[in-house]
Amino acid sequence: MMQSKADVVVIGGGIAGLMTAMYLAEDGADVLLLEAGELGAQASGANAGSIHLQIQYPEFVAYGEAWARAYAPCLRLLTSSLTLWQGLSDRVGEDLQVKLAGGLVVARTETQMQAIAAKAHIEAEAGVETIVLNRSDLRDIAPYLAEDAIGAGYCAREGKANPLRATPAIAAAAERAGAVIHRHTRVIAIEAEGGGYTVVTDKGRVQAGRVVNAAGAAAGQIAGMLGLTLGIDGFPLQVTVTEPMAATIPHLIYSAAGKLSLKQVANGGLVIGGGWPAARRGDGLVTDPRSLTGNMGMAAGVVPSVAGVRALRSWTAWVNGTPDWRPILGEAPGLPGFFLALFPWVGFSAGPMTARITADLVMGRPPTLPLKGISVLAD
Amino acid sequence: MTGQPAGHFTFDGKSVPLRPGQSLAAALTEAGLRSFRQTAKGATRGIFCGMGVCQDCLVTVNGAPNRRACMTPAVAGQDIRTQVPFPDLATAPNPQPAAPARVIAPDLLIVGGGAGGLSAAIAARRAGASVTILDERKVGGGQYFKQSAVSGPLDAQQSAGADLLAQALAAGAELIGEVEIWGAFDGLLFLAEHKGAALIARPRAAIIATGAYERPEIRPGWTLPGVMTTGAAQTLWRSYRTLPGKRVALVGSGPLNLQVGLELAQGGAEVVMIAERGPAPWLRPIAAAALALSGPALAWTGLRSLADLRKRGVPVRHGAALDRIDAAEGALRVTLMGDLSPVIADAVLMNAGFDPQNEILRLLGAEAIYDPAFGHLRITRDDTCATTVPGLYAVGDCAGLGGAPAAMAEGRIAGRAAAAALGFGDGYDTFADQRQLGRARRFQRHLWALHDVAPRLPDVPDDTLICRCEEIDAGQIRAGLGEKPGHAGTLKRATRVGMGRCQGRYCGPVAARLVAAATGTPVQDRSYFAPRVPIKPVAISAILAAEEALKDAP
Repeated sequence: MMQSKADVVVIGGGIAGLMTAMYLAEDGADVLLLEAGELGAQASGANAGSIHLQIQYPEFVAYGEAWARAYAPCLRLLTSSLTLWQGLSDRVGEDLQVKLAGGLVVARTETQMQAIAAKAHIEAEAGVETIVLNRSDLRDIAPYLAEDAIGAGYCAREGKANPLRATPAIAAAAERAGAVIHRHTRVIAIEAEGGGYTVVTDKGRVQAGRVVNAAGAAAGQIAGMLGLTLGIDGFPLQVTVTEPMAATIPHLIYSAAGKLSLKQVANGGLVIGGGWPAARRGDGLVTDPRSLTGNMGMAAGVVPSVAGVRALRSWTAWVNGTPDWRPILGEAPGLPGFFLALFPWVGFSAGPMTARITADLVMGRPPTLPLKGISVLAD
Repeated sequence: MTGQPAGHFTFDGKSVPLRPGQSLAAALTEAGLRSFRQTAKGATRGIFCGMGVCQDCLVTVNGAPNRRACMTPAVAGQDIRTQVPFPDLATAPNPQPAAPARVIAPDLLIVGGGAGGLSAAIAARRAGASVTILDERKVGGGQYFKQSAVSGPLDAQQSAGADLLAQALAAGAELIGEVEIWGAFDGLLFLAEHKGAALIARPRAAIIATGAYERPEIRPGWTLPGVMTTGAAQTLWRSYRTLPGKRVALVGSGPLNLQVGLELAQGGAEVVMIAERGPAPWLRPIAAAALALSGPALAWTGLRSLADLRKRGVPVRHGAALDRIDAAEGALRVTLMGDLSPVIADAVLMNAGFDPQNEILRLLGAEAIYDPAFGHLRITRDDTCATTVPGLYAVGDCAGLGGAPAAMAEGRIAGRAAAAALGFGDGYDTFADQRQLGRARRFQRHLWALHDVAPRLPDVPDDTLICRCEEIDAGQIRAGLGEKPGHAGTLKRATRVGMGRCQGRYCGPVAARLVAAATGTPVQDRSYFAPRVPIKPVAISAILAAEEALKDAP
């Protein structure tokens, strides 16, 4: 039986929602988190485990420098989120396999090197250092790369964490702090009334003074229940993992030739993704064969020895994204007490800081990090 | 056993003789070598399923890591090494495709060249459809007919299989062996590896006839080298004339254990025990009579096997279940439940029923219903064996256990129906086949009623492995269940159960049952781990080999 009242209802059991619930409960709030399915079953649990910081290269090339300058302030949020990631294992009492050994955007052409340099310049203005490595410097730190790699953009603070461990560990920490979590509880309506909200679910109704929308790909649908339109959408992506190999690749690898993220995880497997779309079937997702071959081709192009390794499994998930990549963070305009906790595309990396800021705002404090220029709600 | 060595290969530097046609697993077993690989946690493993499913018999072949010894032919001069858990990435060979990708577009693709697939091929081909059969093994025939890979006389079952194979080829069906299908996609697109090159199939319709694999007894010691499925031992003997060991014990339930026990005894093994979970047939006279009535000839064969085993002094213990297996005296000590006198054996064979190889069907979205009596999914089919996916048919054990005679009748029906749906022939009158099918299915029901293959929740100590590949034990699973997962997939993400190379084929059904029991929900098709690509581990080079051909395709 679900309680009928809470100080705060958090909608969405991904990393942002769970961690917001954890912070709020630690602050003494009476928090109820509602998740339609299983915790961390979508983007938070099914992402490839990259901890991103630098501006994504394919988008930089596609959208141009003006976009990158508008997005660059968000790197401040990502930077502080990485700091939270570094302390997260200790905080939740479980090894989340966080390793920030640096990310490499590997280039094959001079044009790509120039774009990497231009990107590094914008990143530096936002306080993120990206070093442009030449061929021999690159070979020194990453001898496993293809011979045709002529250089790379190296962002030392990037890395990886284990999404499978993160969400359950954060959920457990939230529960220890006193948050109540209801899985398999779908929000079907939200009613604004008397300065608060009634959240109607398929398991009952709950009244709350404040509501946090951390529903990721479903956030638009949740906001729509209050007449609010959000430009956030779900995108079906797929990721592939190989059988374990001896530890060889410490870095997070990107390619300037196309969409790729490649990393070697704690158990030795190579996790290969980078934003390749999954195919849809009915209301579910299945592996897309062309995305699979394209993604593997991109991986083998950068790390040739990958070709000799066997792929074990691919999986699919809905991730969420916005066209301008900027987060939707803060109290919704015209809806006092209704907060949006949405960091698109790199929400796993940004999750801890997204949650920290959201908890601040819900508790009526100024946010740990000023949102001006970062959140689209603070322009 | 038979024939002279045709050369030698080395295993960790030691010379091992081989006979023509033998698999690496067979040659190593014949040489008394049982441990093929080391696990991440320091255990050793050897041949287990013998049919390319479990991925536990991995060895390094001429420097190439993680090759299945059961599916790799032994060749003179090979450098075979114990597979280490974390092979060196830098030295992993980067194989170039042996040939350009081959694209085929037959009217009808048949996956699996066993009893059901061959029967379907003959029927569809005779109706006029072009037919290509893909089979994982070098020699077609499937697990029931188990064709011989070495020279020597065929037994009756092998002769029947050889005859069916010859009929299919004579009818004009093409059979491509050594094909590993790793992907099945909407629009009926199949991606496969064939001898290092890519094979892409875009048929108009497909019949899946991938059979079943064996359900093990998940008990302490079930992962020890020397413990294998009964079918693995049967393949060693019937396909390669290699005994699984000198002293052999069989445990589990079902007719295969009796049959293989007898075959091995006839072949010269000392069968020290056959433990059958089910009660003796003479204690279940009504069920036994029902079996005899539903299939007199087959029931007679079964009874004769029992009598023959008895004559040879093989102890057959009914109502007896495996408790544990321990390494002892350079061999294996087998202890039954409530038993004070364990036996010593060199090989322990286990079969406690079968699970359908329904990965392709589930991947393509075919609906299924859980069959509680057999503890596995039955693919939803109409009376022409068509699944809920347009153009996709399923015949034989992959759709739910039915046995070879039923698979053959289903193959004939589906082959004609699929051809007719494509405009070849008129589907004919399937009355006779439907009648045979009814009889075969009745016999199966009565047969299994005499055995005990009811699915079980693992009642094992905490340190017994449930997931062979990721080495997840019962204690970890129990801890994971404590988090109240709403789905087996959540238990998988929390514990890594089912994330290894066999892709949950052995632990997956257990996880589905455990989560269902814990949540008080009935098992259904969605209770299982979601089906994934690749269907079996596949080298990334093989995926890449398909890339160009896919680009050109519509």
